[in-house]
Amino acid sequence: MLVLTRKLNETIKIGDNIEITVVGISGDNVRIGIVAPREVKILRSEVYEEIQRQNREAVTEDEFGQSLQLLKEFRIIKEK
Amino acid sequence: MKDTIYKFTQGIPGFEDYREFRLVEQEDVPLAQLISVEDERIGFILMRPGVLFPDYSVEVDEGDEEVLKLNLVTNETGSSSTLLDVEPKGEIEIWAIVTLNRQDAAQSTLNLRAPLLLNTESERGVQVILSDKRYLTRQPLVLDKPLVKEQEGAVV
Repeated sequence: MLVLTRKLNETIKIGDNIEITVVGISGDNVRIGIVAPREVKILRSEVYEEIQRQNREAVTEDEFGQSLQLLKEFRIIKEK
Repeated sequence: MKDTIYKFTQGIPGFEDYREFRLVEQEDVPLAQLISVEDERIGFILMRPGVLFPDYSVEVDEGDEEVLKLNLVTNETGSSSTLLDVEPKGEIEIWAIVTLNRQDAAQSTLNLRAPLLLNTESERGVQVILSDKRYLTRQPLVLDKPLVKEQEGAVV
C-alpha cells in the first residue's frame, strides 16, 4: 500500500480523472472529497462487504416453490 | 407470469461475475424470483418493499441513474438526486431481496438497505446501497411496531 501524508485541503491525483481531497479533520474523523468519473463506483468498503455477505446468505437454489410456500404460510404476504 | 431479462452492468455485490438475471414475477403475491441467466442455480427471492413498508423510499445517485438510464428532471435546488416512490413511477421498479430463514420463516428478513432498481424499459438493473441507516440489511418481515420507531437507535 502506498501511504502519503496530506494536510487539510491538499489533494491526491490518481490517474487523469480521479482526485481525492482532505476536506475536513475532526478528532478521529477525516472528511474526504472525491472527484471521479460517473462510472467509477465509490462506496465505503465495509458497507459494500456487508451487502456482499447479505446477498450470499440470501441466494437460493432450486427451492423457490418451497420458500414461497413458507412465506405464504406465515401470512407475510397479503393474498388478494 | 411476467418474465424479463435484466442486465446488471455492475453485477450484484457478492455475485459480480453474473450480469444477466431473469425476473420471474408471481401473479398473486408481491414476490418475484431473480435467476442468473448464466447459472440457473443462482437465484434470489424478491419482494416489493411497499407492501410491508408503505413509507419506504429510495434515493438514487448519479452513477446509478446512469446505469438505469433514467430521464431525470433536475429539481429546484440543483441537486440531481431523485426520490422514487415505493409504487413504481414510470418505468422503475423497486424490489428488495428476501433472506429466508428456512427453519422459521417468521424470522426471514428483507434487505431494505440495498434494494434492486429495475428499469423495465431499458431492461437494466442495479442494486443500490442507500446511505439512510434507518434501512437495515436484515429488516424483520414480521413487525410488532412501525418501521421507523423500531429502528431508532438500531445498530446497522
